[in-house]
Amino acid sequence: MTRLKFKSFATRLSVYTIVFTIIIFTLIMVIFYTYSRERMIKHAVSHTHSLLNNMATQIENKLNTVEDAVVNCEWIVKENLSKPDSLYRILTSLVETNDLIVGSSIAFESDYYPEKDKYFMVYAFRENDNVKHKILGGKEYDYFCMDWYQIPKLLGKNYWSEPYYDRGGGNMMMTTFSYPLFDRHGKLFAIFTADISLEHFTTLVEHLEPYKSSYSVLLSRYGYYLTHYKKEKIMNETIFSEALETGSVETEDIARNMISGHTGTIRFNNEGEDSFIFYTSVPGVGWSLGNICPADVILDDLYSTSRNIIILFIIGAVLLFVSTFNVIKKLTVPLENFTDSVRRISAGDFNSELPEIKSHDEMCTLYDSFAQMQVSLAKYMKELKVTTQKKERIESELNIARKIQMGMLPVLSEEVINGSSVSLYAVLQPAKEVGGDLYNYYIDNNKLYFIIGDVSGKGVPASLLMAITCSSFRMLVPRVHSPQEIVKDLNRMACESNKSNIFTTLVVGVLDTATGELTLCNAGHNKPFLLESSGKISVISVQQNIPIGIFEDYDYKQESICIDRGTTIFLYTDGVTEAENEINQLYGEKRLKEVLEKNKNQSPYDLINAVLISLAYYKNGLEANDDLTMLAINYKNSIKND
Amino acid sequence: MRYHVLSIVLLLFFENIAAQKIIFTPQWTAQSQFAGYYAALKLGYYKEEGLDVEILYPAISENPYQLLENGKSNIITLNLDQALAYKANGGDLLNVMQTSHLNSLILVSHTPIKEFSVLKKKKIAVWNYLSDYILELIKSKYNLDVQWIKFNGGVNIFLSKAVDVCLVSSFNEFNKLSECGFDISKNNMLKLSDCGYDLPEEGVYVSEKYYEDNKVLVDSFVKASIRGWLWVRQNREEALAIVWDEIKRNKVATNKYHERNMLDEILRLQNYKNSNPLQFKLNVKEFENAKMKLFMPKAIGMAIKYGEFVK
Repeated sequence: MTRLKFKSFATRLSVYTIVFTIIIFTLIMVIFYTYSRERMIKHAVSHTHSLLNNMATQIENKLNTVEDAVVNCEWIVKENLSKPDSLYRILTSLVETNDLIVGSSIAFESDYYPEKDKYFMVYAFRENDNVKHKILGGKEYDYFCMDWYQIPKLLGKNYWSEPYYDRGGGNMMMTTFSYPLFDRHGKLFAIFTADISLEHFTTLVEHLEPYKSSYSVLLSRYGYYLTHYKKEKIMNETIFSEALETGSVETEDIARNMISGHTGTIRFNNEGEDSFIFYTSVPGVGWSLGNICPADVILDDLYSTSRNIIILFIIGAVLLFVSTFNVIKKLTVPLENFTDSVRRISAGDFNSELPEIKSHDEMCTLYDSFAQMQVSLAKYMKELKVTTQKKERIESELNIARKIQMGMLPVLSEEVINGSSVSLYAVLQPAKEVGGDLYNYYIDNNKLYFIIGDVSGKGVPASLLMAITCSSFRMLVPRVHSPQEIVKDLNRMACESNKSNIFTTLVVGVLDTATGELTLCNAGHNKPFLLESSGKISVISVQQNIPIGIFEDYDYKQESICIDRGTTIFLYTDGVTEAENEINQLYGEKRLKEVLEKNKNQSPYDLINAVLISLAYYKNGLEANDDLTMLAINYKNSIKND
Repeated sequence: MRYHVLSIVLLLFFENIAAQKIIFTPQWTAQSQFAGYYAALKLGYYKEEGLDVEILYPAISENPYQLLENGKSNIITLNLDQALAYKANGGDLLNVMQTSHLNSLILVSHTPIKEFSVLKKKKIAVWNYLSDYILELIKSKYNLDVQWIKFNGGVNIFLSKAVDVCLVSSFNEFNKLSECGFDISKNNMLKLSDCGYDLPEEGVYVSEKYYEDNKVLVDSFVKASIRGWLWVRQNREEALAIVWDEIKRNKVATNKYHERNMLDEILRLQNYKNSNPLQFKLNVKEFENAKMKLFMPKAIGMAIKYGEFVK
């Protein structure tokens, strides 16, 4: 995934701000939309159902007036049964006094009046604002088989017929209220009816439009459309036939709910349009009243409000982005100037002028910090310059001292004495510019005098004592021939001038090249190794004395051994065995002995170099923490006297 | 040019003179049940046979036989059981064409029915145009102890539960029940054909007298009607459009979904044992079977001869 790369702080901060704002806005919009939608739907349900209930009550009340009118005439009819030809007067009066009733009849049971025909039905009806009457019934009008007569007769109770078209009465949609009349024995003798036009109701329902683009339907007891904005559906289709034709299970469920007399609201797909249907029943007559409204219409206000909010937000977001970008850009101008200043300061221009800050905010604090840093840097650099100069001078002096110190040591090459009976090689590596290690040798007739030592401490003090010890050795050897006397004298001199309690470990030895006698006096120094010609490697265990510079009167002892030709004496300071690796482990005598073992037949030069290589490998680049000195003496051939 | 005009005028004159007027009465109001006749009329098949056919629908309480009897109609349609009943009762009827070879009658009930025996004491709604005679024939033939309730049509009498059981046809009222939201369970319906009452239904009838006097006309009517039905079978959507025009003209309350289903079922009922070509004549086997299923062994109706009834 590619990360966005912004070229400026202002762009990044502006983008972050706008993204965060969009997220917050989206969340708020979702909550607002969800909450508002529920509220609007609830309101629509409440509002539409209120209108539907009012309408249903209105229809029911009007139907009740018809029922009441018929029922109230029952006693008059029964009073006048003996005068069948005058019954029309009751019916005429009923029609005249009830606007809704367009016709009324009393249809008698077969052969009720012996003097009349099998059929006898008195009928009064409205025609051109007049109420007329006639006698009906016969093979052409076999009312015994008609729903309005037969169903209430069989049920034995009032019955509102399914609406029907009255073809002869001006193509009106009508329904008939049938009221069975029973004699004193409970036997049915006639059906009393009132026909009413549904025009009034259908007009009312058609005009019921709670929302623009919504439409209302009135369904009969068995689901026939009595009103519908598609006129061809009226009395021709049922809500079930529509559901069956379209295969819509939703519509079928709605139809069953409505026909069952339920009240409710269902969201459904109405011919491809997401819609709501609100429905309620018209009790008594078994009709159902519904209003179908596209969901978009109900939520239109919400949609337009949401749309406006989103448009305003987009405009606001753009303005926010632009203004945020500009403000941040303006606020960060001093930062850019600071950057330039810092760049100049880092280039060495400590007096570079800082950008002017007029505000008293974080920028002002930053300015103060920069100014303070600038002053501190200038001061520090000045001090550093002085210090560096001092250091350079000291380093120069130390270099000179190093050269002088090194100059005091014999040249690092193999020395051949009296016809190459002895060869030797030594190396001294101070840990600092100057060190406290020392070695030296002196040849007098057949004898090789040598010394190796380590002044305690490092640096200049140790180097001075090393210089004294070295020059004292060379001064003492011509007149003092015993190593123990040399050490005693060196100790005395060290103690006399030792105000700083510095001590020195050393080994002073003399090898008689004619006899192979080796005399050593060890003043607290590392024991030398003896690499014999036979291949044996051993530590020369002469008596150990204390280092010099501690007790002036100490009686130093020496011991002598005799070595064979081909034997190499290896002397070293503790800088060799105490060299450390990365994990602070010491190099140690054991490791040194192993190297010597491997290189025992080498010349002093190669032997020392082998140890140096082993040490370098062991330290793996770490700096030495102590001076390091090695001296190897190989006793080779017989000595020829001069 | 003058001769051409004269020729056309004379042709039209003689054509009108030659076209014989026939009044045809189907059993019910305009619907898909009579699609073949509408097609023959609309497509000019009758005209091609030299017939001027007028369709006269019966009033809601009228039986087509009444119209035939009183001379208001020349050719009618009737169900075979009705026709045989009229014939057995001395009626003047001849079957000249049989359009339906299968029985469509179904009893639907508010309670489960598996056989005729459960109909005991039940109120059964039957169409008003069925004569008392045929109802009594069925009652006695199948030993039914029921109360026939005659009604004009529709399904309201059944849906209002004014009756226990209702006789419906598979092509009309049966579908209408579904369209009124009535769930028809298989346990609550009984096909009469499953109980042995497997009589063919609709046929075309004329009086014997009319047939003797207008044999050619009747044959032409039958020929054109068969052409009409065959065309309908091949062109259902166009046929439905013709039916719909007729329905609108007669202001009949119905819908296209209902009419489409009705036409499909009517065409199914015409297909006798998948015969090819389709048979539009009542065969002897069907005729004898109908008598056996309708009349008691010694009833007068059993004496009706095939040749006397079918032409």
